[in-house]
Amino acid sequence: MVHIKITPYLRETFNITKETFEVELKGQVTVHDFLKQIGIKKPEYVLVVINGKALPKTTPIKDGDCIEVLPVFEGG
Amino acid sequence: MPLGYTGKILRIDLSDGNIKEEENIDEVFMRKYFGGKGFIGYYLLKEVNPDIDPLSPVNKLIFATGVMTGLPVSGMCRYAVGAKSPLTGGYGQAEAGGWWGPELKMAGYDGLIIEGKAEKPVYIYIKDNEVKIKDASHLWGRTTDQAQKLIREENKDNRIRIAQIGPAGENLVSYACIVNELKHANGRTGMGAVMGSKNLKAIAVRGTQKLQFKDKEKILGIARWFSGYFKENPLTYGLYNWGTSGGLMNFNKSGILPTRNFREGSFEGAEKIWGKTMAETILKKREGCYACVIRCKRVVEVDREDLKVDPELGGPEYETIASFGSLCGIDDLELISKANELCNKYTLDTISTGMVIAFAMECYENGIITQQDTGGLKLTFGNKDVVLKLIEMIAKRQGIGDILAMGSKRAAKKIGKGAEQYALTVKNQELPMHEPRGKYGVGLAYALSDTGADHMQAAHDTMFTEEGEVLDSIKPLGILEPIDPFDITQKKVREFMYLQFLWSFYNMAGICDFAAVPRGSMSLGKVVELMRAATGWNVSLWEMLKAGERGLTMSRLFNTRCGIGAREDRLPRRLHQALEGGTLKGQKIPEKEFKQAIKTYYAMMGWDKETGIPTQEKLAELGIDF
Repeated sequence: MVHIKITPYLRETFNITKETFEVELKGQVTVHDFLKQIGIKKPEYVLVVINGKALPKTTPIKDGDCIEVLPVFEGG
Repeated sequence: MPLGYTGKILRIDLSDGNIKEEENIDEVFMRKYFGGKGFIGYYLLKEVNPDIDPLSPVNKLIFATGVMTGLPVSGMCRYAVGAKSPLTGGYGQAEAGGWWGPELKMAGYDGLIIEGKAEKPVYIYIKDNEVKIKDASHLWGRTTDQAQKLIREENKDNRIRIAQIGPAGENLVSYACIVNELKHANGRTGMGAVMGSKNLKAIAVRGTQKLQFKDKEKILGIARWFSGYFKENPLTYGLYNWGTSGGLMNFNKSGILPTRNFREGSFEGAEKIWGKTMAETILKKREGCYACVIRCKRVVEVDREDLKVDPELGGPEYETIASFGSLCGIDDLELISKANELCNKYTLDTISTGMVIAFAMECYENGIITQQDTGGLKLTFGNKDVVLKLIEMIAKRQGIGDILAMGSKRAAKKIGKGAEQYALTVKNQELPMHEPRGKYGVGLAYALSDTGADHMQAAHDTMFTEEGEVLDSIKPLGILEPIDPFDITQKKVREFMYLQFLWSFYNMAGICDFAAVPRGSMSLGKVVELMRAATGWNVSLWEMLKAGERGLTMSRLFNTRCGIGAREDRLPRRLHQALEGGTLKGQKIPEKEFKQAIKTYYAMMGWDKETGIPTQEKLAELGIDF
């Protein structure tokens, strides 16, 4: 099982209803492909934090991972 | 008839009160320089002796809008202020949004050149074509909120837009800024001190004239499209939702949130100070600049018995939250908001002020300065009791505040005892709140910036690490592939340089980086369409990028004449040393490769590879012949 938490306004953008949910992991999958599976059609707009650390989207997902999806954000 | 611009630049001599309009502000001039950085570079090169004291009457303070400033479209609100900088000793410039720039154009002017020094404090009042120099003796010493109220009252007009300085500008703090509408700052390089040195308290503007455009329907069509589309793009919709500090948690988890004077890259108190927390606690409302639907500006209100924050002074941006927050080890968003309010009242650049305080804290923790030096203040990281007090002391130049008002580099030299290692500056200007050890392109920006360390030279390289819409948006520049943020090869230099041309052009034209791609959501094609609809010129993307390059080369040339060059294009030592904490712990910028990248940039720019001086051929190509 993979645990997912998605930032509120990203849920609005990608039409995802729940802030937190769990998904059963089926086979080997990278962060990039996993994001598409859960409805984040444009992964370039999000930063993925796995078990507390921001990691590249080529990272393979493991069973039990806690994934936090934050917006990509620059400047200020 | 000029379209998109007014064709008028005013020259105001405060020494003798003479006011006159510049000649030859024609289409050729406008299409070559566009405004902003273009005007500033032109007038500094033509008229300012590079050897002058920046705080002497012979310095010139230039207020410059751009050809797009005042279009009724989101993001078309920016203007720049420039002069020889008292902080860097070279090219000085700072940009702001808000309403003042469009108001100046509606009063009939593309820019102002302020010369000389008034005998006593004055302010400039512009109502359409009526321009007066008025007494400001009764305003001198007052904070911005007090002065704005008085100026509006005595001119019986609550819609006057005012760009002004507070006590920090009057007291010539090296990093004093200029603030318009109490909350939009021309923040960097000490332009407020130059204004103070001229005894100029404020420029109050009221404009009622309509700007003329080639194709107004086209412009309004793009404005309508943008007002819906910006919500579909998470980059711009995020700015609306959480303001600029919506990225703070992202930086924290990525290990690139400047913490305790850039010693670490993650802060244990980040959750308490980021944009989401602000939205859920002290946020009173979201505000925008002229014609802008993004509304990235925050207005906060705090009404505690021991701490009140006036919403009239706005709310803290990301840079402010990080500089008084993680950088100083402070996790109290209400206190940070008060620091922001004070800086807006006194007109202090929040980035440099936070950095100077963090510098003092590290000196204190290492025994270089003591309680004897600080008047009893314990300057330890995380000490909430000292930040507000230090801001007051800096603005009023009291106690150790008088030394800190010089900027951290000069303060370190005066303090001695090894303090210089803790002053993190480039060309004497303090680093902004972005950690280059996690994005090497930002390191290039800091080292090569004409104004000293600056995060707004180019879009940051972490945006272009994968395929998708963001990278697609800049493919018309010739940047076709993702590049790793830790890359520092020729590929990275080329990416940085092209992105720098684009943002330099945005700066000249008066376009906000948060509205247009890659950070915003208006495509390059739409920007070209807007330019054409505003001016009637058959302008191209190539022409825009060349103009951006021209702006950068002019400012480089001014720095060269001021004696600032290759020796100053380098990062503080700490950035070549390992991060001490956070999720990127151990990361550093490789020094040898970085130095090579700087030389590669010179060569790509058509500058001498060793000295970094623009070659005669490059100057000729860009038409810089003065």
